[in-house]
Amino acid sequence: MGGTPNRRTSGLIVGLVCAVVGIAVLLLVPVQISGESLAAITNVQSPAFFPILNAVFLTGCGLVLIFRRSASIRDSGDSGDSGDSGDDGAARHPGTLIATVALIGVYLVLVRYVGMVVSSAIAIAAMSVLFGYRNKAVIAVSTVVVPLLIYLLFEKVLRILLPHGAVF
Amino acid sequence: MFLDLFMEGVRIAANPLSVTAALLGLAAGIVVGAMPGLTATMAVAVLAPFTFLMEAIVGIPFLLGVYKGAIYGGSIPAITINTPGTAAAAATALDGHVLARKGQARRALEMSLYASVIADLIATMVLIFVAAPLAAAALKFSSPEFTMLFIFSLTMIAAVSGRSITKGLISASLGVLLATMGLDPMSGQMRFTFGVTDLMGGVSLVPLLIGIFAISEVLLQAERGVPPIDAIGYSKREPRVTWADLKGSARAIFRSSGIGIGLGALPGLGAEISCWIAYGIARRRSKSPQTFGKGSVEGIAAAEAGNNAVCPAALIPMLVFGIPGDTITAVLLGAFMAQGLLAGPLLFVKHGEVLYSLFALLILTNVMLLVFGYVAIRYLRKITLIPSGLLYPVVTVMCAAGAFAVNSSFFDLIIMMAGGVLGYGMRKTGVPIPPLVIAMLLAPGLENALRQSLVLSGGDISIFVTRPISAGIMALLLAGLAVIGFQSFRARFSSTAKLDESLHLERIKGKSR
Repeated sequence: MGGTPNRRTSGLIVGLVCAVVGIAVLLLVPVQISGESLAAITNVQSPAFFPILNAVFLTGCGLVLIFRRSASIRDSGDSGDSGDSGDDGAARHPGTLIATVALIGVYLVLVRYVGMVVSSAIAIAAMSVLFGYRNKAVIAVSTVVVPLLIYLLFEKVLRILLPHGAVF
Repeated sequence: MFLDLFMEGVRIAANPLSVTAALLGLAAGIVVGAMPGLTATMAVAVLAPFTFLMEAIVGIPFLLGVYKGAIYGGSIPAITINTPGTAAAAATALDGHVLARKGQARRALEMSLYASVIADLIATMVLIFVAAPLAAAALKFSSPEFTMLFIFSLTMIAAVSGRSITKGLISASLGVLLATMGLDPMSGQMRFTFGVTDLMGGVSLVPLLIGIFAISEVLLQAERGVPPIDAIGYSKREPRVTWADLKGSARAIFRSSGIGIGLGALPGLGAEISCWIAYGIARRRSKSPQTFGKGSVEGIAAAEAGNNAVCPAALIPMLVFGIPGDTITAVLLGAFMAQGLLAGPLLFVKHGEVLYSLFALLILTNVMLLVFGYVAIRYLRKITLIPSGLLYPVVTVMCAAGAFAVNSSFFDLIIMMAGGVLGYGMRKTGVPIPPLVIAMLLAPGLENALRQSLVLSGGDISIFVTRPISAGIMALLLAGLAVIGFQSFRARFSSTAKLDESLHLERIKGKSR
């Protein structure tokens, strides 16, 4: 999760994931689209027609990517398809990334059970520290002002109720 | 007829609420665009839920204002701290920051403002005069033509969005997959809902977009670490743009406006690409190409005119065919749909006066961009110095509030988070995001048109080549793919030749030792 996959491995991963997702969709058709089977590919009136067509296309694209990357890895001098890993070689902090994902996950749970305003204040404080911001006074002001502004904007101006949870 | 509609539009646009919303949107867009790391797409996606409870004539102008403001605002940090606020301002940073380092930040910022306003105005005029006749022609399209048009747009977006066509097509296919969840548009049967009632209406678009664009950016920043700011000091005696600067850059501005309009009207080619092409051509045609990259005001003018002309032009395919040209117009299309305005040729027939009022407001925001831009140059430069360590937590909280507000549903928060992880994964593996987003929006129309065409023809796919317009679009698609394939082959051939040459040189060196 933390490192950057190189061009070939990222292509292989994407290809594999797509092939698996495409095949999974094909297998799910009889279960998730009631009464339909893969034979629906010939019946344009069937609700399964378009999803099957798309799943076959996705699987095909995945296989093309796997085939190209495998060929590219065998012939190490060839860079293969002009794919890219998409991310530059900037500094990596996998620990911060994992902690951020976990923190946002916890925040979304807290939104439901504690309430939007209080959980947002906690989230801003925790994430600011995690992102390396050290000015305690500014963090303290932000934890009060930002959730309050969001509350006023949504509930008082736009009349949209935010989750209040057990606290607020 | 046209004048009547336009005057009616102006009358509707004169509503103080609409004008206020448009101006507020413009101001909000400039502020968000000026913050490094907050993209124009992110701004429109995060602010879109705020507009759903407003009237269309109030909510849409707000978002259009945000769009325009954010694209312009991106040039402020590009010039002052060498960090483009939006990807579309990347070319502006090349000359803008060099000029700022020479103590001429104000001159660079003013040139960026003038070029943006002029290009935007030209493109808005083209939108007003081209959209309606094109929509009248599009009324002759039926399902086979729309099928081919959707396939053409999706394929071109997939082909030009990233460096790999296969990955672009995979992204589009994933978008179609997400769009097939929920009710089948023709039979009303459930598809891939996994027994979750929240999925019966399909995957919520706006929370997903907030996740893909905003949360994924937060995750990427968490991984990369907060970048240091390369700030420039501010002096009240900075030189300003002169008449000679404007005169010398006029040709570049008009040429780049044309490039921006042409590229913006094509699916897939947004402001991010237009700014580089406009900059490159301006450099080639300039009387002093050696100054480009070393603080050329002409370079700034070309890049800014190139990216700002895209905004109104990208609305042409969106409004006329319901096909968003880039991710921002995809989000805007979602907002149009949420307001009950179904984009396509019929929009001009059913809601012509609303459309023309939006056009009138586009002109107004354009003029006001000049005023707001001046204020931004003077006072907003400090915004670029807001530390990312504080900015991203605030963005995360706003994302959660916005995603929840769309349907007042906790499930949308899960969709937002899933979108964030998906967007992060796509960006890490080089799978372009625009095809996924645009495919999600086009898939229902494509499915309907494809199935209707095949029902009409009794399952005979020759219907797509026997009708002249449909065959013409298919020919365009094949020609486009042939050009892209040829360019890709040429690029690979030249890189292989270079590699062979360097290996050969190394061998010769080895032998000589």
